[in-house]
Amino acid sequence: MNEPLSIERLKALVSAYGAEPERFPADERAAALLLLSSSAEARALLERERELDVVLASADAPELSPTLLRRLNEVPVRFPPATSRTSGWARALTAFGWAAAAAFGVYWGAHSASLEAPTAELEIAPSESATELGDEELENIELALGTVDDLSEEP
Amino acid sequence: MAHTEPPIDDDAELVLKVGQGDVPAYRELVRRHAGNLQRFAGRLLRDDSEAQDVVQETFLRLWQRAAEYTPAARVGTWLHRIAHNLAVDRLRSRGRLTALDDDEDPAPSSARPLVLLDQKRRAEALERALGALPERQGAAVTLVHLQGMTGAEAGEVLGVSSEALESLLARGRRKLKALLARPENLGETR
Repeated sequence: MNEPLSIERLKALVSAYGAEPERFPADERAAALLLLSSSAEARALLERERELDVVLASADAPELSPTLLRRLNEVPVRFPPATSRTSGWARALTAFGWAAAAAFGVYWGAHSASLEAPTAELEIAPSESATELGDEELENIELALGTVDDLSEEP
Repeated sequence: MAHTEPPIDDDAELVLKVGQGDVPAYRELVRRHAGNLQRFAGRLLRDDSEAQDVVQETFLRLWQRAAEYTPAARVGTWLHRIAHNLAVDRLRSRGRLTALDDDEDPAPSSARPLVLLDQKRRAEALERALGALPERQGAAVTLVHLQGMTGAEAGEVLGVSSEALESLLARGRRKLKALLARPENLGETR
């Protein structure tokens, strides 16, 4: 059985949720209704909040900005589905693979440079494929987040 | 106005489809939730452009991470939670987060005269008053009283306990009443 509700607790509920008991927390609703059925003071509390509920019910339905709608519709078009369809494990393995390759490259470069090339002539060239991957990822994110603003200005 | 969120199973099914790259399912979720998310983010950020960025980022995350969704929460609650976190990050980066609830409770008042106005002017006055609430109070009132979330769902979105949510709602409603009773909202300045 539900615990009886005190008038003070009902006052707190009404102050927060207004005059519609269906908004009250489910586990206190039955006790609130019981109190309301037996107490004129409780019903008066409800009536005091009803006017604000009427005003709140006047709120216009949210209107989605056409510009935002266009930006949102561009997301699947602009962002490569392949990335989003890859599972978390696959992404982790891919990231690990690139990290391992990069670490090996750095080690190999440094080691071979110390053996074969004078330090003064050593040039550090980033892995081309790794650079391309990073750029592609960045570009995808920019397309999805940033430059979509540009798209929104298209007629 | 209230209880506009579609049934959980329907939405969750769409999210599963989005996880398989289904663009129409993604667009249907945009149609159902983007308006509410835009209003909610706007209430927190008070900047239309930033609110739009947050909504776009929320749906980008949906598109990227739909496969990770587990139906522990309703889809609308999940999306609002993402949008809330993104908005809070923006507020925090601008040093605006500490001022979120920095307000004094106004004297209790009644919204009674306002119910006598026509629907259009009531809606305009309400929008002005909601915009004048502290961000988290406005967000709590919007989630529960305009978008039909339960207190538990709104608490989950805002990352607060049910007691804290009730406090936000009660203070928000009290302040709304005072704001709505101001002469400018009753057309008395003309």
